[in-house]
Amino acid sequence: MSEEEKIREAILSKGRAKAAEIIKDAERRAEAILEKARRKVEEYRKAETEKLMKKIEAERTRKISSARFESRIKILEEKNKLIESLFEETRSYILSNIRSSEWYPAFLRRITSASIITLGLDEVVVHASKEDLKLLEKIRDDIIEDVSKSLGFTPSITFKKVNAPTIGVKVSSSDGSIVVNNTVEAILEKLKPKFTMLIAKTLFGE
Amino acid sequence: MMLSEEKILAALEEASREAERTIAEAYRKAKNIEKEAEKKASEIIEQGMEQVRKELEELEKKELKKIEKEIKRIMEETEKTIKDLKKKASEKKDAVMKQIVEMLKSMVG
Repeated sequence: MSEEEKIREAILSKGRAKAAEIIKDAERRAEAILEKARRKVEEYRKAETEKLMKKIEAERTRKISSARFESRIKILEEKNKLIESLFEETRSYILSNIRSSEWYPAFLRRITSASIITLGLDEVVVHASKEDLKLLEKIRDDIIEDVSKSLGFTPSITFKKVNAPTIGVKVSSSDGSIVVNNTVEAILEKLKPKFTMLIAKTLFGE
Repeated sequence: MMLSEEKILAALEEASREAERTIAEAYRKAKNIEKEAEKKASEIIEQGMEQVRKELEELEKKELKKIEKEIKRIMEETEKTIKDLKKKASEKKDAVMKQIVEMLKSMVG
């Protein structure tokens, strides 16, 4: 190779090397551009996933809380229904069977005496059904004894028949202005909160 | 001699011009490479984001299904609890009625 050719080759070689370096640089920059794009996608994925998961978590909390609340209400309503139904069934059973209970005369004596004592008047009227009046006549003396002992005097007691099929008594002043209602229906109604609690405790331990 | 030097210089100038052309060509290629990379990067971003959106849509559907499943489980448990309550109430009914009658009876003293 001549000297001239050697110098020419050296110049061309330098040019080629420079060109290769330029291309390599460009390729590096291109790779960096692509890498930046991939990173951008990954960052977008991360940010959007985080945003979505937060949204879903909020949705989950809201929906699950609402479902749990709905569930508690449903269970509570069902318990109340069961308690109410059992109370009604018991009321029905008592109203149908109390008169035939061996303890009914004592019960009638107790509620009649208690009603008269509560009024504490000289004259009272005891309102009762035909069936109960029969029994009251039999235990009249016992009632007078209870009342006299408690009040310290013996009030005038009049028995009056009511046509309604009530069980138990209503005791009023002679003019009817004050009344103590001790029919079994009324007693059960008065005791309903206590019975309800008892039912709830026995059925559900509450 | 003079003529030979001129010849050499001319040859060197020619080589230099050729080298410059090679370098210029490299710059042109480099520009194209970067331009292509920019274009590809835009595609990567556009397609990538579209892909992410699709994935997130699927993820959302999947997660919402999970929530629905959990709600269904809560409701099924509720129904089971209610069924158990009814069974318990039925089993204890007589005992409760007896207790109430006893309470009423206890009023007799």
